[in-house]
Amino acid sequence: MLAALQHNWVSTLYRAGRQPVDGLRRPQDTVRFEIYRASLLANLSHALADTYPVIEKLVGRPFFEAAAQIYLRRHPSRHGDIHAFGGDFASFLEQFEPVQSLPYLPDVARLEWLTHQAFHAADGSVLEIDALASLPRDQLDAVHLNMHPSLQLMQSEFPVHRIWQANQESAPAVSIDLDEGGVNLAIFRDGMDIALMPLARADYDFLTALRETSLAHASDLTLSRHADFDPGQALHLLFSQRLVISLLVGDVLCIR
Amino acid sequence: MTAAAPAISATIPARAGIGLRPAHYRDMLARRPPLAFLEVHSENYFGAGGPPHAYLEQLRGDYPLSLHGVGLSLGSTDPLDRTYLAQLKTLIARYQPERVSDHLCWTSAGGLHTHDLLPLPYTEDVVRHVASRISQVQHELGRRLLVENATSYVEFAASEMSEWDFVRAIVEEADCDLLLDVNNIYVNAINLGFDPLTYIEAMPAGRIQEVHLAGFDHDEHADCLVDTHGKPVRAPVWDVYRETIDRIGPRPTLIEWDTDIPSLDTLLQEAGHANIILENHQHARRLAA
Repeated sequence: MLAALQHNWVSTLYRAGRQPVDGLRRPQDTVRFEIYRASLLANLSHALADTYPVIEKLVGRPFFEAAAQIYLRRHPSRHGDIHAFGGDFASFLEQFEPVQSLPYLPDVARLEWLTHQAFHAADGSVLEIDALASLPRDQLDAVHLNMHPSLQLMQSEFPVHRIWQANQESAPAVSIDLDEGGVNLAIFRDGMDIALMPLARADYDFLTALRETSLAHASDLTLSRHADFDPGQALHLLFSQRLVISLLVGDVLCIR
Repeated sequence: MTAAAPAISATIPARAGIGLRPAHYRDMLARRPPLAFLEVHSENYFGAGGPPHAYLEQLRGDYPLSLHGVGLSLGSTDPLDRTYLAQLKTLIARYQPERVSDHLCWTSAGGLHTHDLLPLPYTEDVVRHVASRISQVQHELGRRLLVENATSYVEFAASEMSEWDFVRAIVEEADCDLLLDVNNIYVNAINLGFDPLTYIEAMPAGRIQEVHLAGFDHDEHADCLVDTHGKPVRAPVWDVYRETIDRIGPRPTLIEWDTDIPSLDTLLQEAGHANIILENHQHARRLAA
């Protein structure tokens, strides 16, 4: 009895239109059931707006809420933690007919989802570059760099970092030329704030490779694609942004 | 994590606390007002790190802590969510909270979550189902759970007992503690037509380990009070609260405010109001003795 009742409620709440549920006692209960439908729509569209404030600003609240209602019916919440809701919003926008004239929108959504991940990611200690310099020469080849847990990487054909920054609270009004070119972006948490760092293509490839392989191998891979790549300069950049939290030499973890 | 977290579950003074919300993080750190405890929504700290934990860890040393969940879905017919339970266990291990609670309701079915506290029909079968889920959660967490009475805007044709009999039967069968939400009782009393004091007198006072107070709104179209947590505690709810404390004795009492969040000062004033009622009760008891 209870399982059937609950499945009936959930499918009715998530469905568009105003169907009643079965099994209510009084006539006024049908009207009152609408409170639950309104609550589901409000909770989930607020959660989506919390995760995608820049998208909401770009398309305006009424449009965002209408899009959110369609999104939440196609991609209902599947976790008890509401922060996990909304991960498919970028791919939804890619297919969503009314925003096809805004081709940068899905990438802005992708960026916001990554900033959301970065915000809640684990904390990491800070490692100084001296830790690397003090390693014996023969160990340097095999060393792996562990990056800050909040670090996310993305590429876009659009200047999504500039769009994101221009739409933060109290950001000055700027005009952004969508044809100014794309970006290779590192996204991470710097203290309590989210940092976006545009990277040269070689640095981006290096950072991508570092997540998979040793420092020496990542340098070789990057140099084979970018003859002018300077590993020393790239390493200084990573350490100065406090993105390296530990070194792995063989089985030994070096922190701080 | 902070070294100040007590190793063993300690008690919370029978005075007022508030829900800690991100809008007040900085204000709370700067002022550290005297409060009996802080309550947070567990799910807001399911992430591994970042600002939510940075703030909570700084405050946790100064206040007893209550973890209040909205996603256990204790009344659901879906299997217990293992991922959710694991996240809750991690959070409990990290902060060693004095209280862990969730609601006598369901929020999900068929793997789909509504993020709303949905009502249950009041039947013997549902009592057994929910009580066994609570027992299972208490076993998994290795500690006692407080369950909170919820609101219901509708009545189910299948219900065969009163809400107060339903709540009492569940907490006794599950052998868990009760988080008595006085606002929810008042809202249901008006919407469904019963005397809130009949409900309160039916509660097992010894199991009530915390009381919640919040504000409601009125939905004119549905002619129904709605538990929005977006307003000050209303006058009749303060009256029911006073009657409750007179019957069960002083309890840690939370001011809950989740939408249209006001200034910290407004929350502290509401907490002050609860403290006056708790103090007056004790004063009257001393005079009587």
